Amino acid sequence: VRSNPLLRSLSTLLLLAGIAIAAEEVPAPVKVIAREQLPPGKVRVEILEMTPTPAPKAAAPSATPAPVATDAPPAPFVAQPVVAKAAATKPAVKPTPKPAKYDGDESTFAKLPDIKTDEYEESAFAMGYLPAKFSERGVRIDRSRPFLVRSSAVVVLPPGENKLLVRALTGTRLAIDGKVLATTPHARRSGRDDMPVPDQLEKQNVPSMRLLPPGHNEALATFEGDGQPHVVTVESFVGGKGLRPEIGEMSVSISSAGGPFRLLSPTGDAPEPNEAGWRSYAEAQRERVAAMERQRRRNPGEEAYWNARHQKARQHAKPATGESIDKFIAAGLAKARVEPAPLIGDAAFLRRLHLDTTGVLPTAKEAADFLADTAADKRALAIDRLLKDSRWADRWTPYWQDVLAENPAMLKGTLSNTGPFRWWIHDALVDNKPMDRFVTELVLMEGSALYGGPAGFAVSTQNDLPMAAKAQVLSSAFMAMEMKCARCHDAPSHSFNQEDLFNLAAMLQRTPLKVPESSLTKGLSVNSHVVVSLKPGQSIEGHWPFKDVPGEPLPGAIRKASDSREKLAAILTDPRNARFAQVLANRMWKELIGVGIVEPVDDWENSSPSHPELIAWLGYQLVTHNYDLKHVARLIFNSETYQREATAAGTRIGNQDERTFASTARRRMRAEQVVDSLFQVAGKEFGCELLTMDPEDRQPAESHSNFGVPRRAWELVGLANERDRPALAKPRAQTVTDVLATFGWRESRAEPRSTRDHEANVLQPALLANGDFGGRIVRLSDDHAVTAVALREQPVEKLVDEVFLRVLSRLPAEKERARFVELLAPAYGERLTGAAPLQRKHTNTKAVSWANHLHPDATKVIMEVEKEVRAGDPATPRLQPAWRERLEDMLWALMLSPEFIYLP
Amino acid sequence: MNHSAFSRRDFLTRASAAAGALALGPGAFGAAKAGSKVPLGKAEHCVFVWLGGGMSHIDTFDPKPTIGEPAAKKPGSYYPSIDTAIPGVPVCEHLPRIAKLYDRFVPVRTVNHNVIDEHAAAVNRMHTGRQVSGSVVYPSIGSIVAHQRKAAADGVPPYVVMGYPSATRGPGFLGPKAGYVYLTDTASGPAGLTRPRDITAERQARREALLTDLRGSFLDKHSEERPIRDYSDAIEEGFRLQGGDFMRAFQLDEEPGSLRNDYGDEFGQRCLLARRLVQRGVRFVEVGFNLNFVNGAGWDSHNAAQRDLHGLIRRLDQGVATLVQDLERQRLLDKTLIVIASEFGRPAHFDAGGGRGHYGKCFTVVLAGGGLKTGQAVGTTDELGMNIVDEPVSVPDLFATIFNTLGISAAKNLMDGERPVPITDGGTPVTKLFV
Repeated sequence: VRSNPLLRSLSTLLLLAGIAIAAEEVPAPVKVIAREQLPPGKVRVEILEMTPTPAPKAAAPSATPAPVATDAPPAPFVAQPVVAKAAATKPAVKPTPKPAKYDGDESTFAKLPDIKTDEYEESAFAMGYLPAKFSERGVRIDRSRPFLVRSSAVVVLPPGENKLLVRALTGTRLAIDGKVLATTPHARRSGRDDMPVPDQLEKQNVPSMRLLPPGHNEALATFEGDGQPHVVTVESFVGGKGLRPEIGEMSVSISSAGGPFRLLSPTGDAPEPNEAGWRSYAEAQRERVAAMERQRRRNPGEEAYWNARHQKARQHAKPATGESIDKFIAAGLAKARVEPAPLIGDAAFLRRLHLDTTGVLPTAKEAADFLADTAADKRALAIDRLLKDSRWADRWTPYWQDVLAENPAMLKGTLSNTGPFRWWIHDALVDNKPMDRFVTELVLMEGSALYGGPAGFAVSTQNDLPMAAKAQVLSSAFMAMEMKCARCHDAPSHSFNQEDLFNLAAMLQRTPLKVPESSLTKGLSVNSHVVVSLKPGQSIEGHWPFKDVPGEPLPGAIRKASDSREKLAAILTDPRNARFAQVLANRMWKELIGVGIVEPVDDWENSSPSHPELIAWLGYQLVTHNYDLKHVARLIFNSETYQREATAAGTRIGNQDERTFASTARRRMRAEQVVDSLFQVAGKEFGCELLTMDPEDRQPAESHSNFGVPRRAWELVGLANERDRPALAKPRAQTVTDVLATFGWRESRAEPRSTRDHEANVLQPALLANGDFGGRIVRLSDDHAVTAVALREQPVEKLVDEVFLRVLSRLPAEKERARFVELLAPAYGERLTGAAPLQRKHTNTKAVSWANHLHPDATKVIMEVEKEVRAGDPATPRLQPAWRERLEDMLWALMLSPEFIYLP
Repeated sequence: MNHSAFSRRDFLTRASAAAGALALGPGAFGAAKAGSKVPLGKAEHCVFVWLGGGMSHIDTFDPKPTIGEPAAKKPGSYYPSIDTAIPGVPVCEHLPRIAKLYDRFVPVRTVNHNVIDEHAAAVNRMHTGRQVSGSVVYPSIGSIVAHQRKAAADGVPPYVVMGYPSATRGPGFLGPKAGYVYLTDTASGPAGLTRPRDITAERQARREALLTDLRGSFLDKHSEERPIRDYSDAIEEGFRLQGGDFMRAFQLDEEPGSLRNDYGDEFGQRCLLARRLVQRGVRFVEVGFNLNFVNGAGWDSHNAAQRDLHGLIRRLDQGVATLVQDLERQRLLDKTLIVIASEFGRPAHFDAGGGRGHYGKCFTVVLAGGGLKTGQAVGTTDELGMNIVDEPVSVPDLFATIFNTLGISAAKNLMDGERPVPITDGGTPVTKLFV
């Protein structure tokens, strides 16, 4: 639905006349800060929020910022607990009316947000990343819309003329000693979609700077320096009425006495804001911010609560005796008189372990070091080291995206879409949250719905009964009960009925649930074996429906007894509910061994475990080790069962008697592992577009999401715009999602899935062999990691060895080495041209965004980009082309070998 | 190496085709009501022309005598209409070639649904024939046809999309085997199946020789393992496809220059490509018409996009008319059903920018060829094309009609795992097109 065109043309006129749409009132003065209050050599960053707007929102649970006085010392920035809407003790039958939509306030310097909710230090006046805000429970919550980021520092400004350049997406002002020198305009929501396509290079003041990102503005000021320290303050609004809260790329740069611009910093040694300088600064900042966020999620009170629960869990867990995985497996093997397969060698072990823990390959050096290591316990040490690796979160986020049906849309989600709760999953995995806590947070569905909190799980667009869909996800994920059929009728092949599912749904909804007619199967024949036992309009109160699991949580397990969601979470994760822990342990087993002890992992109704004592023991291990799933993973990794060769027999699921685990299953890399590993081989960034159709941030998150620039494959998202508008295409990201999709990733995850289809198809190797993605992996451009290896002075045999280690994590066999030496030895001595690397120029400088995508030029620009993508990365001029092509062909062959995509 | 494994009909998956498991159990429920009176059609292929954005029916195939005036807020058609080969059934003046051939066509003017707020939901409705469901991901019409009829020849995908990929066009619960191969540009063909331009035949040979040597011992060691064998076979199949008959379909320059000119620009070339794909055994080709550089918004003609709508309509006329004649010459028209569809229509009144909003109470989907009883219109709308006067055709009915034309019974069930799902949501074919 579009805005009124009349209003639009009016606002265009105003814009043309240089008049801001919302009349700016008299700006509030910039607070003068005493030099002594600022940290020496650092930029102090404060995040300030508005007083929560009162009235119109009896709104969805949103966080209230902790009232911290503006000048209070930087103390713990734990926000107030997210107060979930209280479930009335006597729930009203009628669902509460939809709250009036609060869309945020227009930002204006006349009214500065003044409630400080975070403070930290930066090295320069430049921000590509801000730490998210977290609730007491450690889940992402929203800040006020807008909020303000105030950066201040003491800076010595050189004598003479200094030029100061402000770049910002939103309203930003720069002041020195309280005097405002430059201001950029506020971003305002725009209804336009056919504006002219701007050329960013023409818009920016300094051509050598990184290309001005879409929607950003610049303001230039001059300041006569005196060589003395001054207090520089930069205030930047983020978000606002109908806008997503994004900082974009905010920076202040300085050029003194006609010198080059540098990012402004108290120490004067920040990088130049050109492409490379900005990237290195932003990447370092990203890591700092991630570390800050880890710290901000920690809350001793919350941890104490979980520790107490875990202590209690140890007392109440149903004991299971056992010694080790291998003992259980050996007993079964002896009984079946089956000999186990041999253990895999060190190279194979390290590759397998890396993919299972980090989702990518070991580097050539890691592989070489591990092979050379003579320690007897080097496998156990590697397991411990890799379990601590934070990339664990990247490996396992996509697993839970599948299982929990995380299904966000980039544009106006109407196809069973959820919020992007991927960020919560990732946070939880980075923190290695205990699984009972993980599930509790998921069930409570608190925090930010649109910016990555578990509240995003509650969203389900175009669904007549979202909570029934969520109950279905939860029951298959954590109870291995596939209740899909019960959505519309009693399940014919399962022991539960429709009312059971609706009971769970009512507990999630926190109110009795009325059965909508649209949820019942109609037109059944009289003698159908399918039964619809519910009546339209019938009300389901919401109680735990399954007798074999205690329906009352342990005393003290829940903090708010009246909340049916909390109760449901506590029952699910109850230590006496052995099924929960066993389902999780079995899921981990299946992912690491390839075949579950119980199959299928998400529907145990009609199946039995192959090793009942083992699954009971693994579940017991999980419950008595703080629900730490990494503990189960560690047990599996250290077992001989995991370290055995994969065979055809080990790959067969068969019935439970046939599953001896004498060998492991042959597993193919997951789609994400294929993509991440190949980018790792090439040492390249994804190079994808910003994953939003509104890079100018002129639209709200309700209709336009922004998933950022992906660094790992799980961050990608379906790119369809469902309008077939070429101007909305993302040609670079498309080359990656094409590969992902053909290897089993889903661009839409409307339903949960625990096991992917890993059938081979023609397009899989074809996209690697001939596609634009494969081309980028193989083409030796200046930024390709193997180019650097090839430039190094070393015998050709060493080069061959290193490429093998890099791609296949092993050394070549004699014959293989000979074959590739034969390929690369000719003209090896003359391979260097002595040429300089290519100067990479901007190719496309036009910024296509939602605001202009219906302009005919926008389509033309994207068609040009598509051409560029097809042309691929330019080859390095530093290597002789004929020789370079032979090395490329070697990479191509290694990448295409089935050995590459099947785990050893 | 076992090449024959792939020369079966599964293109996208070298699965041990257990797909035959479709036989209906007795008592499968919810099947369509008695569609059995309508004889099954004999068409073999479907070319599904997709006008993304929403074609304005009163400016194309359901024109009205009243000419509207955007400035005066007077509702009505934007263009005068002309007579066609179907007496009393006019089209807009920018469809002159189709008008002459109209006896090969059936405009279905009373298609209707209620999801018009957001394109995605409407595109989904017109591709799956279903409401979005929280618990079932329904397959697209192309996937259903691919699944039911498979490709008509070996080494050919059953379902090709020219346009951007999306889950809505996907196989849903039918799984990847019923998926599509897509391309966004007729000149380059589907991603992955064309050798990059800078790789000479000599270099490709070197690459393949290296790969053969490298994987030899690996394959020997794992010869018992089906997944590895399958993947290795898939590599081979990819190489063979590159030089094979299927990829030749994309060499449009094999066609006479006069015919290529006759088809016109990129949309026409896509129609030509569709014919070449059909000839090679592809069952279902979706031809996306998204030449948005013409008027910016394509068929989504809000505001100013309305002004140059005829630029799109004329290209549609040229491409589709040439396709019909070309198929007729090749004796393929009776075997090939052409569908011109979009997610919804547009209202007779104008928005403040002089264009049109979205409208779903009635809009037109055009059928042609396919052995149907063409030369007649289905359904009548009122004087402004805003309400149905007679013969309403629901989206499930439209789907049932298309399936029936392609010899697929609309009373059939598909299987979502163990769960039977009726192939349409209770639709019945439009009887008069078959008897």
